[in-house]
Amino acid sequence: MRQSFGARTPTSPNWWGSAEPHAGGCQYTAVTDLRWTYPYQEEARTGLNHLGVPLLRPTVAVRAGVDTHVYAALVDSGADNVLAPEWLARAAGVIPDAARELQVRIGGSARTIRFQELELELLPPDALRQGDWEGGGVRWEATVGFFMNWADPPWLVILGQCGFFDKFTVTLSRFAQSVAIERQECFDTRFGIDYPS
Amino acid sequence: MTDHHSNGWLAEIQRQNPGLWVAIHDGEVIAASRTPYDLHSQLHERAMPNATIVRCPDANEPELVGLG
Repeated sequence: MRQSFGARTPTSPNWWGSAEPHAGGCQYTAVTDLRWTYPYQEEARTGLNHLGVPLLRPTVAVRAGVDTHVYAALVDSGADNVLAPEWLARAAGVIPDAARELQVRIGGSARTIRFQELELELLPPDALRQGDWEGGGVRWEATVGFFMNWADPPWLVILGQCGFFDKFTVTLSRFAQSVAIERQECFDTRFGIDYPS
Repeated sequence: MTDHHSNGWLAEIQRQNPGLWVAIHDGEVIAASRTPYDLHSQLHERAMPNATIVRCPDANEPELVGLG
């Protein structure tokens, strides 16, 4: 057994049925079968596009804290944390913790991030187009790293390994040009991961 | 393939608003700005609490790689 498995929260069906949003898991609201697929978001590509392929980003729809707007969030398997500009913390109703500060490097330059817990809500693909989604969603609490000085962020929410990939089974397919989100335990079931309880 | 499995509508909005942050409601752009902060303020001032906020990259800007 890998030592890091010690940090895993058990994923029994009973635990998944919890109505507690902050018990280390997710709270499902009117979502009985989480199998949402989001089409990759296409961006305009620089110059003549000599590569001959479109620029596609895996994105999902989220809301943050008390903020009622919907954000297109980048699914970034290379990021270790959920990241956002400090401005989003204010919009979402939380204050980044000055006692939990970290220097990170992006694009060669160092930036300061401060962490704070924030409730996020994953919304289905249709929410991106509508903007005022009142249907079901999946809420969870993530420890988010807020950039204290990021005047021109390319994304307002970046969903990384801790706080997103450890809450859901995330499948990225460039072939299908889609990202699929399923319940956390789906990966274990599909691939027979032996996790001692 | 289902209808939802396409972001063509979003790609079109992004093509029409290069370099801007836009607010979308029912598939239509209801506000746009150079910064997400200003856009959020605009929506607040206009009492529009429910919109999708998306950035529209300019084709001439350098591509983003390796955030994480």
